[in-house]
Amino acid sequence: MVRRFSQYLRAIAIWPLAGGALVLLMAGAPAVVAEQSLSSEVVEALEAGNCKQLMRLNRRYWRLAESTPSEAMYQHTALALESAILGDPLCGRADAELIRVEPQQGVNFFNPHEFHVFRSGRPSR
Amino acid sequence: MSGFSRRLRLLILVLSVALAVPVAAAPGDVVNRSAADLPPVAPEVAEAFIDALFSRWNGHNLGGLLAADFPDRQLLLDAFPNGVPADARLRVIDVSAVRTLSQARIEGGVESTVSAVVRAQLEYEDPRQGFQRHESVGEYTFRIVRRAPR
Repeated sequence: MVRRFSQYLRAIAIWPLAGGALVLLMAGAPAVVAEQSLSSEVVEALEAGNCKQLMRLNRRYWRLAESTPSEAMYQHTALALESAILGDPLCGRADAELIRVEPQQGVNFFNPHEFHVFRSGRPSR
Repeated sequence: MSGFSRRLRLLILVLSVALAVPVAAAPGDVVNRSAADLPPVAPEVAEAFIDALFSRWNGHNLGGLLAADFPDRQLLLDAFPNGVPADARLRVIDVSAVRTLSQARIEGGVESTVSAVVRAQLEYEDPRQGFQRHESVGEYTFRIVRRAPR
């Protein structure tokens, strides 16, 4: 009786622990699988942080991801490359637009109401 | 071998693999980068934009670089070319205090709002009064969208 109880106790103690470990394993596994599945060329580019190379690979993997959507690996790789590009402040293509100019001194050349300076020809010195 | 021993060995195996996972996944930070991890806009990027902006001002072709809600946008565009001397040249003297005010991840890129203090100089020849020079300092606020081209 004592022995049987002891076995039950062990089972109760062990299986939740094993279950917890399995949950941890399941949560972490995709990252490991994904990381290991990156091609050596991609891994090298990520490690080197070479912008040109990252951009070239990024284009290639997005094309692959679009042409074969069933291959999740392509999209995963493209996202990793995209993230690396955006992580480098001097990499990628930047488009910008002016929102406003707050003058601190002198003429604001982006305020048409101040363009009268051209008519008056008022020199600044 | 008892059932308990087998379960214990299985537990140790599962735990060892589970504990190894986070270590192996560490390089995966390149995979999941949140907006908070993004670097601020580089001063070089802000300077390049100001250069492009002034170049377009000199070419009387500002349209594409003014936000839709830029104050008096259409009035400013209409002021060229008649309201500005043809030979007027706007030059950047200095770009300083580049600050990234906000950043957000968007589809395929990152959108940033940036401000910079720009010291500029305008030069032109007035037919009656000769060489003219006007200096200006202003805080320029602009939106930058940086993408990884697909």
